[in-house]
Amino acid sequence: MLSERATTLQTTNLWLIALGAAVALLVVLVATGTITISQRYISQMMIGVSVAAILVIAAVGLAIIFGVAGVINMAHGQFIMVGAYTAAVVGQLGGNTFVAIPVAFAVVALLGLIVERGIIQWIYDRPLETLLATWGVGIILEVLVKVIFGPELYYVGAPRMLDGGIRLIGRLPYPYYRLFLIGMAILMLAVTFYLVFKTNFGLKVRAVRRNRAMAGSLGINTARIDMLIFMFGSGLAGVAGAVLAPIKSVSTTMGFSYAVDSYMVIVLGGVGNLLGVPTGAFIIGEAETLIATGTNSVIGKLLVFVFIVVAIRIVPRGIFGYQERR
Amino acid sequence: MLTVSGINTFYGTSHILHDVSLQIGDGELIAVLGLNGAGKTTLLRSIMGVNPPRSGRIELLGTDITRMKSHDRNHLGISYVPQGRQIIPDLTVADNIRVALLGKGMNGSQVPGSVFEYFPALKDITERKGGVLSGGQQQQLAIARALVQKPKLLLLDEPTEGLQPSVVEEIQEIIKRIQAERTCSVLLIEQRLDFVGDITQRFAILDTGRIVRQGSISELTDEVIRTHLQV
Repeated sequence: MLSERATTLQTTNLWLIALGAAVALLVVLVATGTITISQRYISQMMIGVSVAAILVIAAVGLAIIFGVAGVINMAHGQFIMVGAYTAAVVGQLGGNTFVAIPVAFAVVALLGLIVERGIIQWIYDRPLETLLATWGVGIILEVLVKVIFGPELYYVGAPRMLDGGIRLIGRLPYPYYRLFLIGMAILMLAVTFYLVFKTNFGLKVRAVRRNRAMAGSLGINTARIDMLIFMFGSGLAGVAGAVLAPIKSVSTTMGFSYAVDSYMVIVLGGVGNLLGVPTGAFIIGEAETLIATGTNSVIGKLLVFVFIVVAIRIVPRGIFGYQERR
Repeated sequence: MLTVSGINTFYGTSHILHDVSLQIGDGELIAVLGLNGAGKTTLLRSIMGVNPPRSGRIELLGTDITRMKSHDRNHLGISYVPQGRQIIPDLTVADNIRVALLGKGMNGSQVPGSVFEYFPALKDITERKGGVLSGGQQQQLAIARALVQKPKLLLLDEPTEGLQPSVVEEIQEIIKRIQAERTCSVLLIEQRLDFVGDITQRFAILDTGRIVRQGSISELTDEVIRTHLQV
């Protein structure tokens, strides 16, 4: 077991080193003029970064719930959708995205609490049932929201101060809202990292994650940790809904595509390490955007799917993944 | 301190412990002996609540803990050094100890210096990850992690298993010290009969999930050993 862990560690480092070396090589080649990248590709790469940011925002809540509590929340997309509707309501009451963020966090965290206490807490050790149960929760949420808000689309505007954009390269402006999304992705990751690695609560979380029975024997209320993590991850899904609402219309079915993207991110990145989320998101975001530049977005998405299938063959547990649970 | 009365514990459908009863007094050390598969570890897991018994009753200081969760049992005063030590591998030595402090609801901001009085070997490796420690270091850490919680009852599952002789002696010294200072009651699973004879007055023998003998160490005759402890 020990050697297995050591190997995982080395593999992780190897990946990081390889990735770092590849990026460094690319930078050197571009800087020395050995290869030239057209402006079009550079601006597409910038857009890729913001796509990655959207992926991070959507996936981080799912990743922490999966990583700690071991639950694949099939209702994750609908949690994002509820966050977006919360933002729409806040918008109609006169608040903007900055107001909507904490409100959506609170609303969806509360929703997560209800789902966890009402259903999940009884079936943590039965993965298939948690899948089916959370899927059911997702369907119920879609129907409920449709009953309350009706079938029409809602539009949430970006805050006025984030209107417009800056001209970085070429003629197309880079919207401020995309910069804001990149900032939000970094902020959400930073908060999650801080919570998990720098607080007493996080220390207990890491103990529960690695050895549930022993953590309980050491006096940690593991059920409470699961509950709080479920709430926190749900809250992050709510925040995702609030900040993603302005980039698309808000509808009851909007969650699906975000959920699919989130699952791809954590499958590629792996859930053993929180670094898997930004890594997976960056690779998918850039690949999708760059392939789409040469072809179109449908082929881009398709090739990314193919790439992930191949990647799973090579690193079955994701780039940073390892298997350890119960 | 601890009264176990007629507990029956199962793994799935297989019946492991049959009507096991046991008592431990304040500050007492009792050694549980038995062959592999006799149910020793299951007994500790039942007391800790990792595998709660299906029937019977466990009382700690007069409180019925039979249906309690592990963490509540820990808060009432039971600390556990499990088989395989179960150090959290990606936490440092210091963080492994801090987890124990926080779990018990104690101040976990730093590791109390008293830990290193018992375990000087841990002092220089506090920032090392638990997973890279040697077996002996892990065992010391596992015991340190339990003692730092100031338990009333300590459950020790084969603390010297698989360790080199010099380390075995160190661990035995620590257990002797706990016993001599009457720090807490101890339920010890041990295979080394000479050490058991050294350290305790009382023993209990588990054989295929039943307590077949218990008594003072003078009753641990060659015949009893031949009947129950040799293959």
